[in-house]
Amino acid sequence: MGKKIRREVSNRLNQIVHSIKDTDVTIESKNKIQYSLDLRKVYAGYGKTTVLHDVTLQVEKGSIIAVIGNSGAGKTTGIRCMTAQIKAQKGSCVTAGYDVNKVPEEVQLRIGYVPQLEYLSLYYDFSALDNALFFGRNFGTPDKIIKKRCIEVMKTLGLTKKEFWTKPVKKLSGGEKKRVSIMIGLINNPEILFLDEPTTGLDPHLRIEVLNFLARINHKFKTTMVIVSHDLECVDYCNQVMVFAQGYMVDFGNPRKLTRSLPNSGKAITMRFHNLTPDEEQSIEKIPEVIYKLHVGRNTFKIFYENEASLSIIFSKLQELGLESNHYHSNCVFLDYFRVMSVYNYNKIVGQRKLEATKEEESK
Amino acid sequence: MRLRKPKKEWRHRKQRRVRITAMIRKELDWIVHDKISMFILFFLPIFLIISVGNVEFNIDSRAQDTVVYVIDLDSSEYSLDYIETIRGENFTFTVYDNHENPDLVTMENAEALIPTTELGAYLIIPSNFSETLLENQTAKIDLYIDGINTIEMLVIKYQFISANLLYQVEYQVFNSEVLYIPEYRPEIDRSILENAVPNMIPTILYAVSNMVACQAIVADDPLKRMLLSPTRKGEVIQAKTFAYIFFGALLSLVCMCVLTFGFGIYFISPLDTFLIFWMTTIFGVTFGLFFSSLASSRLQGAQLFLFSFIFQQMLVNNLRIEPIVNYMPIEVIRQNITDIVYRGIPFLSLGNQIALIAGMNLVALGAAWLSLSLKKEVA
Repeated sequence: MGKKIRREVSNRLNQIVHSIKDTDVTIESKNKIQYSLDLRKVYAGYGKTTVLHDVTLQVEKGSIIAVIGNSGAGKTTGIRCMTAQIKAQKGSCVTAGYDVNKVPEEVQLRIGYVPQLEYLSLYYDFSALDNALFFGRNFGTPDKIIKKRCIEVMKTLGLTKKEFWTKPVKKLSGGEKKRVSIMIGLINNPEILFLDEPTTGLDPHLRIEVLNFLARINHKFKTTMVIVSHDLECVDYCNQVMVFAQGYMVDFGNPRKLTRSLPNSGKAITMRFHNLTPDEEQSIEKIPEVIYKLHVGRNTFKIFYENEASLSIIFSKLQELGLESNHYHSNCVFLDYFRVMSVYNYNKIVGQRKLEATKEEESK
Repeated sequence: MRLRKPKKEWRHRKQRRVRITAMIRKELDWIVHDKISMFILFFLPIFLIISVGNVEFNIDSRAQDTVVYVIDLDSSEYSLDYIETIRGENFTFTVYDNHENPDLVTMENAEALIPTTELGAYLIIPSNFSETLLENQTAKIDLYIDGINTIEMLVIKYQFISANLLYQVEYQVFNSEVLYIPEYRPEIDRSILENAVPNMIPTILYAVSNMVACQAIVADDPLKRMLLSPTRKGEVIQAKTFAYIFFGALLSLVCMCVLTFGFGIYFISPLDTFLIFWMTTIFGVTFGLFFSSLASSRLQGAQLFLFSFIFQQMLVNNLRIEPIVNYMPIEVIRQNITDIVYRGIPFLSLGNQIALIAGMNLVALGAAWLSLSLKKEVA
């Protein structure tokens, strides 16, 4: 089991390193490509404390990116750095073509930001249109253009009736408020829209609705979107996903590709056992052909295996152990990938990255 | 890596002006929509002015219809005159005497009713009352007041002091005593409100403008999002200062209108009066913005207002620590407001004192900007 984990960690690290090297080559050879986000070896934090370590990534224009990770992983610091709220301590962070350390105001002119809580980011006594005017004027946009833009975006977000633009925000529902907040984020026609937990606190159907509207906005205005979220369902809507753990970016790539990088191209088997004791559970884990085992319910596991041959071995070993189960084959989703990586590998990847960073520092 | 050339359009003076104007408009709209701020800014001062303006008519209302029994044991012309005096329209007593109501006004009844709410006081005019007065001696009246209601007790007591004085003056029942009757030049019959203006109005104007400005930054939650646009923190301070100063001017005008048209108070130079009123509100606004930039919650903003207000009032009214008190803007305003309002001394003649207050306002704004700049979380 230990060897398997080591091998997996090593493979993942190689993938990350190669993807970074490939991207560098692309930039140098195709110099004219403009990235919405271009971070090179960025370290960021507050005062003398460094929260975010050695982040390198490029995001092409018009993409939708998800930033995920557990609490304290460094997502917020990363977003703050990208939106020029804080400076990068080391490295270069280029947002919308401008260096956040050198010309933060130029960056702020070209980005939109949708905070997590509407009541802290909208004037509730005013209508959506008034809010749009307040925020839009700060970008030096004339009132006429702000109004036009507000109505256009509101319509795209499904708020077509005039009352939605003219009613005080406090009288709108939760989902409507969220959409007004997104409209405000888009009022300056930004190149990149940063969304902090856009689906948190919404009903399940509203979560999907908001994500659909975001996809619609992305399609219509070609706005690059960076979504910070705990809800992994947003990953479905994204071209790329960044995973943060303990201040390190431990994964960056297309979520579907990442999911397929799981054993057997992300195909697993879900097994529901009858009356499983902790010892029996451990014995399943000890079967060498079981690469990963994820709890997905009571006495229910998703078992990852290498190929069909190893699956037959697993079944026969379970029979030997006297464990009866119902089972069905299932394709993995990104949630499974995230769980597998966070349970088995992220801490080790972080350890490896830390070691590499220390060695690099020493060599310098 | 290819970088774009900075356009720096956000730095242009015109762009800055657009942003500041936008912020001022937003701020004005915000305050107008904020019912509590409007209540504090306009209702409280007007309510206080109206209350103090009506004080002379209502001060004795707490002793209205106070029943007083007079047991006249003298039954002379002097004692009857005395009873007539306290029955007069200057006093709010309902007087019963033993001549008109011999069954009701008895010593036993009076003693029995004084602890109840039915009788406020009773007095006994001794049998030698007129005799003593005729001999130019000091006549003694026994007055018993219901001591349970302290406020009513004080009002009755002071009314009887006035009644005694009035009786002495009206009926010439004094001989060796020197009666002190002051006269004033010019002869001004000022109401209580007029006398209160120099002290009360600066305090009210400072308090309300400071109280509202104390919430200007800390309660502006969406400001954090606003600062993600090219709007700078200095511009926020500028815009908020302008907006609140505008409301300060409006408040000063409203107060002057209420004082003039509501209570007939005459200002020799309305412009100079307006300027000193306005300066008071500006002082409240700048310090309020400073407190608001320091505070990290609405409650802290309110606490800073309350603490600073109490401290300032203690320093100006009680402690008077020299020379600090002389540099307190509220003290400077109080010292000069009477001369400006009632003597017509020009506002600009204050010269150095205006410069001192303006300087303190600038220091407060600078401190507000610094404090806001150092803050990680704005609202």
